[in-house]
Amino acid sequence: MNERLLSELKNGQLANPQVCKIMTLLMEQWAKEKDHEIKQQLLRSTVLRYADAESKLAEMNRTKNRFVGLVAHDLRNPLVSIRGLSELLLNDGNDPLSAQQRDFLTTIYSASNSMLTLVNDILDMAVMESGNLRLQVRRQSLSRLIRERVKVNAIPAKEKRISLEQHFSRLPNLSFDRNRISQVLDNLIGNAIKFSPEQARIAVSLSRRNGTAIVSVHDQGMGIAREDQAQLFSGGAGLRNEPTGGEKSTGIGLTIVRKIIEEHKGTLTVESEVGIGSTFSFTLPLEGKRVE
Amino acid sequence: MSNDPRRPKVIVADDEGHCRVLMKAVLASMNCDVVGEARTGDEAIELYRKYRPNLLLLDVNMPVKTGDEVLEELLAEFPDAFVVVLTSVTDMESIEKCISMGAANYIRKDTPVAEIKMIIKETWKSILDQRKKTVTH
Repeated sequence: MNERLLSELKNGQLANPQVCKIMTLLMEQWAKEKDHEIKQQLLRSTVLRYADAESKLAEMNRTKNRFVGLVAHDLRNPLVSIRGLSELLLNDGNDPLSAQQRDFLTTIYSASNSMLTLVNDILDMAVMESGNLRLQVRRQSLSRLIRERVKVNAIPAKEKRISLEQHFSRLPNLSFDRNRISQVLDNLIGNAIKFSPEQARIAVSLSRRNGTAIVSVHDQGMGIAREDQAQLFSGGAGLRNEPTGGEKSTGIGLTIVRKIIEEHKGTLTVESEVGIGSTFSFTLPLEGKRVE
Repeated sequence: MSNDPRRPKVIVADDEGHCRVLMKAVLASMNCDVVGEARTGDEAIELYRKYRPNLLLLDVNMPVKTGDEVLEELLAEFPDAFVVVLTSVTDMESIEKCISMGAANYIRKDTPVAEIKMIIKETWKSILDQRKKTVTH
């Protein structure tokens, strides 16, 4: 229809109303094309802006990784030495310390230990958020690792005269990353010690349920209010519980623990009652589910 | 350096001075005799040849020669060498390599002192037990 009108216009065969109609059609067509062109331009500039933002983001990520590397090497290692040397002076020094020297050294030890925990937690969070947590999984005995970590954690427990008990069911070897599960056990047992009163009892148990191994750490601490439990695994901001012996807690340890357990295809749960105590449990698959 | 033959002789190899100071203090508190300290992998091998220590604490990440290169060269020359590797958290892949090559154990540098001592003592004991068994068979 439009082609026919245009051909008649060219040949001078059209009356004025017909010319008007053609002009209207052409205007509409032009408006549509202009609208399309504007939309195309908008789309192009949006794509360019996104590409620019992506390249800036990649650059920022590279800077962050350089910074993380710097922190890992140049900040953590000296902190390790400060903490270690103050620990040696406190416990293995040849000469007796005055009360003031002991007091100052205890402060140096405690402050460097807290900083080291925080630096390690920040580095772990950076690794996990960049999706670079690579597990080094090997089939091995979980009960042996638990015994080892209980033995190591008995040292700080002794300072608060806390007894550490162990209960084991017989289980076959499991596939897990030894260092990361050590980190999980240290965190859970360490928290139980921090949040328990002097002379309390902590029980670490290993059992089997529905094709999974379950490790539980039960304490007789102050317990965690129901409304606080939801925040435990997401940074812990606003938690009201405080360690009982002046220890420090960054609050991000449990977030890291949960991520490690999830990477192992397990789950982390807590049962707690205020004034009674808490039980933190994690599961690891026994057979069938393969941990990459 | 003392010449008491009853004290285990140890060499500490780490490029960071404060790490060497810490490890030397830990070993001294365990009644070990630190006979040498190396800043590079080459120095570690040189000192090992000179002193033939009972234990080498070897940082995995060192200049000139890395820990695994030192270990390869050392174990080829001294197959009975008792080497414990020191590592930061980020070096775990190199550690796997060192253990498979023949290192007796590893210690993460951020391990508390009491645990470092425990690892060294237990590794030392297990190596001795293993060697006794090999001799009896």
